[in-house]
Amino acid sequence: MRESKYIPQLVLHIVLLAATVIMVGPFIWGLLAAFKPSGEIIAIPMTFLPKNPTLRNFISLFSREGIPFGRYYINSTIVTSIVVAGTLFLCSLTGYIFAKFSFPYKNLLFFTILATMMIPFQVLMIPLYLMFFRMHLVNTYPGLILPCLITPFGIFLMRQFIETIPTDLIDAGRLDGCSEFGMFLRLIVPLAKPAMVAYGIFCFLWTWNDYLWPLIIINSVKLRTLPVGISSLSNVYGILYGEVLAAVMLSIGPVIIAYLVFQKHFVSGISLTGLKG
Amino acid sequence: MFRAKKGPKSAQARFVFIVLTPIMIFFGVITLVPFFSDIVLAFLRYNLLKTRPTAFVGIGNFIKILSDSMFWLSLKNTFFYVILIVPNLIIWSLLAALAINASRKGKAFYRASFFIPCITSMVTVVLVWKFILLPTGLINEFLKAIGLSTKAWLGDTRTFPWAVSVMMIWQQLGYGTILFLAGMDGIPGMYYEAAKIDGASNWHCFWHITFPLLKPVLLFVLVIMTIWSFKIFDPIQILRAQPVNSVIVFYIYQNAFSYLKLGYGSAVALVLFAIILAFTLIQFKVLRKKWEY
Repeated sequence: MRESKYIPQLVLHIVLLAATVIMVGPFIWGLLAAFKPSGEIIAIPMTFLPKNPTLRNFISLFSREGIPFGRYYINSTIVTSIVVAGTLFLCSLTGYIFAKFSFPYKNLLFFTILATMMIPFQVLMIPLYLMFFRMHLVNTYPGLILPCLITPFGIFLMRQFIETIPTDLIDAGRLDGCSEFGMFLRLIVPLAKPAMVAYGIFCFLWTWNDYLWPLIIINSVKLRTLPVGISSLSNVYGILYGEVLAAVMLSIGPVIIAYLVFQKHFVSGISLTGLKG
Repeated sequence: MFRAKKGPKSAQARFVFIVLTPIMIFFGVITLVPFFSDIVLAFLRYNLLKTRPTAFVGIGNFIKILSDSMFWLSLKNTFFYVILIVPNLIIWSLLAALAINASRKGKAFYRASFFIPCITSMVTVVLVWKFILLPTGLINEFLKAIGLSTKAWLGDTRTFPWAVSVMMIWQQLGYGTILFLAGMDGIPGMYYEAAKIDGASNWHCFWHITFPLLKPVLLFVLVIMTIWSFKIFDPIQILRAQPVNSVIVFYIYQNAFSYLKLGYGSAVALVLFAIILAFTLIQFKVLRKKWEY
């Protein structure tokens, strides 16, 4: 009777491995294609491993006229870093205040913040663009960064987490003569690390991968972020699949590496909070 | 509370006031102000090329929407995606979660691999799949090899929605799987042991223990995925889809930023918001009643 337990497990693993191939396969296929010369990519019969592996796709990617791929990378990095740092700071500060202080209209304010979570970005994008247009923020870094700097979900998440920090600790800090802001930096921030990591990851993914807002707010090639840049690359040089896929692989490189290293945090963040990209 | 007081209380009050006020103002400016502006804009005729709205048209925009065939086509396409994607997403991620949960080794590996498509950008997903779905691509070669006919998956406007749906389901599958797995982790093993002692079969265990206790997660995934499916935009824009394959968010985007009709675009955006809100409330009301004990 014991033997029969292994067969179902074996079948299960075969099925799961097949599913894994389906989930990860397209990326591997794209990665392989990035190293194939353009001729080989569309050749029939199809080759699996590159017959003539080449780095030419990657090289010509950086020397394409009108497609400053390196710039796209820099833009995405700058925008994402500032947004993640800024939103972690602002959301945890706001969450702290809503969790541990009382002031007039606090509940009404919090309720309003929660209500705004229901508003999809697609509804806000037109007036937001108009507002930025009038403030001459179109096609600028601040234009890209500002709308992402504070989110209702971030405030909610941080508040829920900080609420679990014992108020006694905070009172003790006050007795010791710590300034209010000093207390935030030295007491709350270290204790709120799990929530900040979870939300930080979510924000990083969201901003790095964001397509709609950068598409709207940026119209010069030099300020494009990676998603928009790669999309335009594929539309202009669509037939050069090797290059397009090389660009794609380079853009997901950092994300995949960060994911493999911080896997536990990614998964536990999603499980705890239900946040999605 | 903000009167000048002596003592620690006033330091707290000052802290709150100094920190919260600018933050709340900023938050209001990027969230509430645009929302209400959108409502106002929907009642105007506003071409972006002019610095001031040209006319107040009342509900004129909304009336135009009713007779706008492109609007209805976009809406129909969007519903297609919602109806095709959401049930598939739930079923397949639930199955995947059950399978991963049942495996004795390698749970973390499977969970991690399933989640990889989720962390990549939509652009990545679309372009990698565009390559696979080429007339001379991997999928067609595979179909040829097993003797089925090939199609121009993304080129043919009739197969386009199906191809995009598969892409979207594929990308979001990991997310649902992780949530269901987390839900299953919360179910005490005791229940299964007790049931097994009473002679319950595996199906019995699933239907009477797992499924009922996963209902909150199910509801959550259902609502989130429905809302998400209504907002699908990226593949349509990135692949330069034909107008007949347009979706509602793409239509909003087109009106506002290609035709520069901000007022009309805002009106359509509000209609989308109303639809999403209605769907969410209905889902909550209907399913919560049926499913909660």
